[in-house]
Amino acid sequence: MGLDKLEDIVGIPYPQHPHCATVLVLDTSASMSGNKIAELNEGLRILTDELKEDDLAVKRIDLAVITFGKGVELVRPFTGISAFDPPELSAGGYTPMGAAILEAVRVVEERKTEYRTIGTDYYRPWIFLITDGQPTDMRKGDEKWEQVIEAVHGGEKDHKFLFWALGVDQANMTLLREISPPGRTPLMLKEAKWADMFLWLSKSLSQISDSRIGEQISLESPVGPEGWGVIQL
Amino acid sequence: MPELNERYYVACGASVAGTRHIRDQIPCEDAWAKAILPGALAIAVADGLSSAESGGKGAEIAVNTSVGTIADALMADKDPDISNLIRMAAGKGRENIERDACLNGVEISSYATTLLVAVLTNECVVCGHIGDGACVTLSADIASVLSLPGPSEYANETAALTGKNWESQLRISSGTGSAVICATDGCQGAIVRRDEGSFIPYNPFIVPLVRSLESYISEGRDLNLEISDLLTSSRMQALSSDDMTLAVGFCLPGEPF
Repeated sequence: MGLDKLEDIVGIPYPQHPHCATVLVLDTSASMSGNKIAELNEGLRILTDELKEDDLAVKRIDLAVITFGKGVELVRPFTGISAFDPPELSAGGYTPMGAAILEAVRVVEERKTEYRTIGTDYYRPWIFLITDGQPTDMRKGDEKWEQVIEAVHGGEKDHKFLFWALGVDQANMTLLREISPPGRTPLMLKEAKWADMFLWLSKSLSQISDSRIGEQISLESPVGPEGWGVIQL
Repeated sequence: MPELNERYYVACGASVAGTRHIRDQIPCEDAWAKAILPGALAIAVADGLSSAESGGKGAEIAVNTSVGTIADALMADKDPDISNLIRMAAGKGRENIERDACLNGVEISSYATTLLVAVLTNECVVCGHIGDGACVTLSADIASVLSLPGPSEYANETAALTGKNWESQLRISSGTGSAVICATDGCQGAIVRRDEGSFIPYNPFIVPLVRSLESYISEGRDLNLEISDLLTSSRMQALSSDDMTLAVGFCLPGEPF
């Protein structure tokens, strides 16, 4: 009696975790040279290390990195956190932000198709843009601009992804505000708060990866005296 | 000796807090209920949504009302249309939730919950389902999927009984079998698995579970406790950080012990 417990009798399968695709769209143009690119690289290492400490995030977050500077490059395709190797980025070139955003939207849709094909459940993907300037490959009102606005605003409206924009230093916040989906105000990184911002991102992704059905996630506010960001009006 | 066609029904289950609720000191917001009737049984499981302030209360009202409604109807009418009965039971569940919400001066959305109700008779198994979770049947040693999580693109989205569109979200399915197993989202991964994009029943879990519960009866064991112990085991808790509910109903030849 009592020896044949159900736990020892039934076959319990390995968990099939839902995945959360996250794309970092990073400005590596010439203006990011010096401390900024060094802090960005350090931030990527912090983000990776923090996520690797979180058991669920390791199983659920798939991270990709797109850079825009000397062209637009998918420097890390979607990779699980345990295998993710943060890239060492260097600065140079212009700011082809429009093409980079469209590439992020494309890879997110491609990833969701892959999830569906293999039958993996998934959370709404995140696109996280960081820039210190303004786009050089589109102007407000031109064809690419309209394409980007439609992709970002339409994508958010259709719940295809969540888009966050973060400005650094001399970033054109007016343009970022127009690119950002309505209601998602872009944030300006406070000086010397790179590490805090990546810690926030890590915490937020951990929360998302541990969210349950129907749950509205309350992310820690990045704005405030202790936060890493400010909203520029 | 029992008559050849004499059968009796057994239903058992448990709801336990998931690891996230334990960590955050939130009580279990899943619920389950059962009713054993002459020639039938009804079981219900529900998952109160964390985003809703009184999701756990909603789940409790949903399972108790729906199972109670089915039991009353089956006692009054031995041969009802079970699909319609389940629709009515879900509707009563929603009505009672709305009443409770009204008494407390809050919106019904504060009680958001999924609901899965199954009725097993000598002839069939019928399931009514809103939201996620899963239901499988067992016939001989062959498991079949009866109901799957409702369609939603993202893993953290689901339909709820408390939604305005609950009637269009209610999916009724029927099959045959001598056992029915219902699970909320937290442990649905133990009874159905994704295989190349489709859900299939996970036999290594389902078959030994039902056979063991059947054999435990003759040993006089507490079946609810056995399921509770299973759900709190580390390997089950590794499946998900959500609350877990597993309810099993089956019929056996002969008379009850």
